[in-house]
This record gives sequence, C-alpha cells and structure tokens, in this order.
Amino acid sequence: MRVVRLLVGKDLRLEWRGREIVSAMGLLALLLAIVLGATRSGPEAAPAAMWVTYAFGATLGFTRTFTLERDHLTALLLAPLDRGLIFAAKALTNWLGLVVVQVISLPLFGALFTETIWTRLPALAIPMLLGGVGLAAVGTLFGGLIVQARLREALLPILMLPVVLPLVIAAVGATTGILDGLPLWAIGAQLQLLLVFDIIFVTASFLLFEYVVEE
Amino acid sequence: MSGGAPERWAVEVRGLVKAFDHRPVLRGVDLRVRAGETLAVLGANGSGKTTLLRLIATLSSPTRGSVTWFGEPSAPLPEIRRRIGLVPHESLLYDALTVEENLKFFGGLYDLAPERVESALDEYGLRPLALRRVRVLSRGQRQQVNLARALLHDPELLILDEPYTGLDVGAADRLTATLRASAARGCTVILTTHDPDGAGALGADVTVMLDGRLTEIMPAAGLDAAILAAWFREGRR
Repeated sequence: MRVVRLLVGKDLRLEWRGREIVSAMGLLALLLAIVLGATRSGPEAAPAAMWVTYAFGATLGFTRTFTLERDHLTALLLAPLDRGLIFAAKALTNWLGLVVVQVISLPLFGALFTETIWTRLPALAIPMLLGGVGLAAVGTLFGGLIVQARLREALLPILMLPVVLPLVIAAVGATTGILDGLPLWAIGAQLQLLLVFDIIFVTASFLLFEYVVEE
Repeated sequence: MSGGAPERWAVEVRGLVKAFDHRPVLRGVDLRVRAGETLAVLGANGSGKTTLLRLIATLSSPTRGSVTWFGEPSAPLPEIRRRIGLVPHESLLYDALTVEENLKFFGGLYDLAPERVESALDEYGLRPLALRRVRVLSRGQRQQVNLARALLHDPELLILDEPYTGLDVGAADRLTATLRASAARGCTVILTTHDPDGAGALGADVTVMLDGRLTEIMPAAGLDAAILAAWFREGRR
C-alpha cells in the first residue's frame, strides 16, 4: 500500500500542477453532454448520454495518463516493485480522474435531461462508482499496452470500448432503473453484474499488466 | 587467475541474441564484467549498445542466451533490480516536480529514508537546485540530478547510456568525477559512449560493438586500428 500511495500521490501532484488529464476529460464530457442534451433531452435518454460521455471521456484521459508517464516508465519498471502495484496505482489515479469528471458533469445532466438525478444521487453513486472502476481497470491495461504506439489516441477506444461494452450496458441498465425510481433491490442483478465485471477486469488487468509493459 | 579468492562477476552475459521482428540486433554477445570494474561499450549508432544495456538492466528479455547478475543465477528480478542503477539516454525525471520531490519519489520506490535524500542533495551538489522544478534545469544539471537519482540507493551496478551526450566541459568533468567516486566505492560501472578518450579519462576498459557482437575487452588506449576502422565503417552503413 505504501508504494501505491507514493505512486498515486505523485500522479495527483503532477495532475494538480498540469491539470492536463482532468481538463481534457472534463472538456470532452461537457461537450458531449451539451451535444447529446441538445439532440434529445428527455429523461429516458439520460443514462445512455451519461455513460457515452463517461466512456469517451475515459478513453481520452486514460491515453493521456500513460503518455505523460511514457518517458518515466523505465524508472518504474526498474524499481524493485511488483508491476501489479504500478497498475493498481495508475488504475486508481485514472478512476479518481473519472470520478472528478462524473461529479462536474452531473449538474449538466441534471439541467439538460432530468432533475431526478438530484433526488436519486446517493443511489446513483453506486453504478457510477462500480462502472468507473471497470472502465479504469480496462483503460489502464490497454493504456499501458499502447503507450509506445504512434496512434495511441485512436487505438485506445478501438481496443477498450468493445471490451467494456457489457459493463457499460449493465451500468446504463442500473442507472435507468435508479432514475426510474426503482428501489435498489429491483436493480440488484445489474449491480451484481457490474461488481462481477469489476472483479474480473481488475484481477485480469492486475495479472496481465506485467506482460503488457514488457518490451 | 589462480590461487586467491574466486573472481566476482557483476555481470555475465552468455550467447546473448536479441531480435526485433526477426531482425537480430545482438547476434551472440558474450561479456563478463568484474565487480568494481568500469567498462565502456563503444560502437556506431544503431549497433545495439542500448539494447545490450536494457538487457543488462533487466528491462528486456533476451531472444536467446542469458544474463547473470552478481553471480546469482536464481536471484529474483526485484532483488536484482534493487542493486542496479540506470541512467538511460532520456531523462527519467518528472519535469513538473522539483529536484527534491523527484529524489524523494524515487527514494520512496526503494524504501529509502528521507534522510538519504537530504544527504544525496549535499553529496551530489544539488542543494542549490533542490527547490527548482526539473523543467527549468539545463541539460547538464538534469544529468546531475538523473545521476543522483540512479545512485540514490547505492547500487552495486551502475549502467549509463551515452551519459556525456550534450554536456559542456564542466558538466562532463563533474560526471566523470562522480563516476570515478562511485567506482572507487566498489560500484561496477558500464556505460556506452562514442568517445574512447572519455572512456580513458574514466579509467575504463573498453569493448566495441561490431556487427551485433562485442570485441575483447581492452584498455582504452589499446584500441587497435583495425577495430577503429571497422567501427567507423559500421557507422557509415
């Protein structure tokens, strides 16, 4: 945990000074929310709009995370660390960035799509957090894989989005249920599915990360 | 060698082959570096020097052959890595962090006490730069910090990839002094360079990478004309 704290602390300090990742993700999220809101702003469109925004915001931000680390990855790989810890720290940083984007874009979704967001906020946090963890795990794994590639900004969505599609569908389903006013037990299946996806994606990514950063 | 204690090898490389996309860069490298020795690997650009250093630094796996570190063939890689310091051609420092923050971060990766960072700032003459962000430092100052980063955990093996490139005379002299001091403490130093005279100033033995293999190790002053000619021919290819 000490090493993960150290790595995340360094990433957050760099982000605080540069504000490159959250500002890029946030700007894209705001643009998408506004465009989607202008196209079809009924309450029933809110869950899909939210998760399209988060998924695309994530692909942009997660590519930047590794691009900024590219020249320093050698030092991390040379350190006497389990490389899974490097993954854990990067995934945690990515997830925190996504949470920031989710939080700052919520008012826009509330204003453009449905006010129910405000009354259902605590319940809504559950699929947002669970879906975010899965996106961060897969995005971090593929971000590490393509860090040396030239067209990495184009590659990450191509690689990541098909893999996270089941997760995004489950997140949209859970979000829809919550905004429709269903109790949590009624959407238990979707939440369990999200949890299972998270466990699979986090475990697989943790184990595979060592191989994807090998030359 | 006969009689006395057996020789301690910091690095033993045997039959090392490394290919990228089926194109061999190293074609069977054999190399043994004694503990405490300083060795300069010379060679043309693209001859495979950096590839060899990355293999010795545990950052890459060989296509064929083996590398043994510190005479311990079965030691786990994280333990080996703890004993190696690397200064690659590119800076590994974070531009947005100060010198002190960089050293504290890298010291933390090796679980070093904060006092070690404080002493390193004095030891490598970095105290005046401690609070400056790396992005505002000159190439020579960056290299000084990069070297301090690599030496922070007192490695037994220090690997440097063309460390003199882009340095002015003063910075190059400081680098030489630091490397000589490290060698005097018993640290094994392996570096790549294009400059046989610089290697000589360092008191290093040299070997030349030719056609994916290394020549015999020899004193820097003893580079014969045939090897130099082959080196320059390869550089023009």
